[in-house]
Amino acid sequence: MKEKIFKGEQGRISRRTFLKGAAALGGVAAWGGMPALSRTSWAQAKKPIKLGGLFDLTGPFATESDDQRKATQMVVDEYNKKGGLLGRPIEFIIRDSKLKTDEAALKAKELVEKEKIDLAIGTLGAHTVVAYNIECKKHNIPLMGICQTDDLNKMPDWGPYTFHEGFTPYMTAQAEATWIAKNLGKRWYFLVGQWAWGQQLYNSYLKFITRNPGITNVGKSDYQLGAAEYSMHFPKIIDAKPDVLISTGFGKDQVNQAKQMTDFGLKTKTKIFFGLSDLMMAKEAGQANIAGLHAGTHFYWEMQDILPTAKSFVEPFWKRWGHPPTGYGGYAYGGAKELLGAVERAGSLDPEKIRKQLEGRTYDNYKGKQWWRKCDHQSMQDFYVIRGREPKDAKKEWGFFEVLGKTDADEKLERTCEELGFKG
Amino acid sequence: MIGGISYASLITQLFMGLQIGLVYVLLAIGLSLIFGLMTVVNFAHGAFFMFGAYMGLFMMGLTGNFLVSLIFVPLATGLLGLVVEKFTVRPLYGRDLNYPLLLTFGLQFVMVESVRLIWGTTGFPFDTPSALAGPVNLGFALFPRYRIFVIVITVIIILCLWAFLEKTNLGLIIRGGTRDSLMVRVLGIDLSKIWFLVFGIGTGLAGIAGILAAPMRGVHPDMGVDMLIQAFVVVVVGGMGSLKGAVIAGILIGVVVSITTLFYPMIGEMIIFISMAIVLLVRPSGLFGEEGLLE
Repeated sequence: MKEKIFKGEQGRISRRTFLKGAAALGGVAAWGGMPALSRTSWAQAKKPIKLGGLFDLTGPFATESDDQRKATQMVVDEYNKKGGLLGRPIEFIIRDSKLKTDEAALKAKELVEKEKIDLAIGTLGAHTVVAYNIECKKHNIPLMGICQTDDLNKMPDWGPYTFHEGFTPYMTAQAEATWIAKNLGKRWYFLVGQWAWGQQLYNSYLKFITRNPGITNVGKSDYQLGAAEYSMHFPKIIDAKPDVLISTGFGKDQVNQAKQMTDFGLKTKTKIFFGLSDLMMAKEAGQANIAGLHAGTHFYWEMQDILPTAKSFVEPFWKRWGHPPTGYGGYAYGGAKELLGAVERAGSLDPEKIRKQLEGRTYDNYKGKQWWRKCDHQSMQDFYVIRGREPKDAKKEWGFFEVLGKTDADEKLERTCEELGFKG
Repeated sequence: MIGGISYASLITQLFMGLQIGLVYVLLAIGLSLIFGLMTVVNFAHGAFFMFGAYMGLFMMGLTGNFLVSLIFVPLATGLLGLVVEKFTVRPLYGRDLNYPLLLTFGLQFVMVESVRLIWGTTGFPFDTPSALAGPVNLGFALFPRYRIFVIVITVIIILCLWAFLEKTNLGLIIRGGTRDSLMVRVLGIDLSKIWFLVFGIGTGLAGIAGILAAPMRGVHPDMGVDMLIQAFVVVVVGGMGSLKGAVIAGILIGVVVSITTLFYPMIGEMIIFISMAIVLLVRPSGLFGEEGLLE
């Protein structure tokens, strides 16, 4: 048997087979003899640029994070359609952190060390992005953070190639707290999720209260991320008689909270404000359940009526994925455009050259003017307060919210460079 | 007033605990039934719960009638349970406890991912039936009408199941099989048919829990994952295989969670596991469990 394999079916190597083999060998020899330079450039032309995408595709934020994946995919496809980036195709490599820190660390390592990504984008969770950043920092890979966190732009977590397209909870709280105090009342109760963003937002609110003695903190209830039942918190909240209940509920947590707040009549006892809301949460909760609830957001698709750049994002997104984009889709779209655009302008994957392209740059990718603060690579942008429309007033299929207020982008909303640990 | 909390709040909180506990019970009894008779630790139970909610959504879309959906869902999930038992669990009978455990563990992922592929990662709202919408004033607090309906339905289901197990010949065989399956077989009874039926009933109960939970918690692919953990804790605390244990432990844990949340919300979720640890330290086989079932 062994002999047959070596000699072929007829037991000997035919002349034709021999000639084929000789030609192949000759080709290899000739290739080896070519100048090393041309071989490299051939390989370079074919070798794709690898963009790693770590998302939280399982768990309570799965829907929003999947929108981040979709929006990034759109930007990648836009580049690939026009011939790629630096003449090379972009390969988009996706991993799921499952919204867990250890899984995020593992998948980040896989992206960086096994897949050898050139550029990185992700995640949605304030805790998963920290794990991702640690790995990218170690290997000098530019990371575009597209979540809300206080850590990415702060020393020592910050890295020279770390960029943060999302709001920080600190900025969110400053913008929201001013609006709430002015429009909803001054007795505040907090429903706080036990996870990074929930805690960061709550702590930022506390700082605001310390600076504004007219506001009373009347109580706080904690819950675990991903909890399904919130009704047992309600009697205590009602007893505290707050003007406003401020919740850090996001994703599925917000859906369940909004539902139960409606069912138990909590909305009739106090005004309710969610630190952040987004389109898909409203869809999952249903119009009746989000009616009258206030929330903060950085983007809502109906902005396309007033902003031309929003239209250029919303229309193709909607056409491709069958629904308007969420705000988190917006972060990913804007962030991916900035990252890949910087590579294009730099004409190189050198992180130092990419950094120089972004620092201090003013841009408008999908929602009006934004800019990168030079010291910490934090994107400065406008912030909005929205409110769920009553079912009878709901506009179109996706018209869940009305925009009530806007806070203009301002570096004063964020901690100063010195406070964040940057000298000078 | 106790610790700054009014008596009205305390009563409301107890009532909330009772209601949350009954949802645990509904999921735990199916799990307990399957384990008690078949010693199958059904890790896919949460997935059947989720499947029930999706089937409810499908049927609501088709008929618009909640009661029709409530009858259809346990039949559909029960039927799926029967198929699963016949083609996947049955070949593993007589083998070690770990075999069906690993099988159902994998099956859970298959079911959740299939649902994700078909209906997407985004969940769906499930409107409370209009006749049951809105809160009712109980005197001490506003309470959603729908949740009172869930309490009533759960109590009816528990009573029916109790009557079935205690008052019918089939129930007698199931109870006999739980205690000593070899002896029941010696008496000439084909236990494999009973196992088939019990798996169907157990998964049907998970389905009905799913559709009942949907108007309170929405419908999404991961909805069964957390519920499964809580249901397991209830079964373990109550005693593996004991229906009475599952009911009492479910209500007990619901009340403990609710009261803890009132005084110290930080450990509201954790208290479930603390309670389990305490019970297992004092009674290793749970409150009403039989010793040696897992050996």
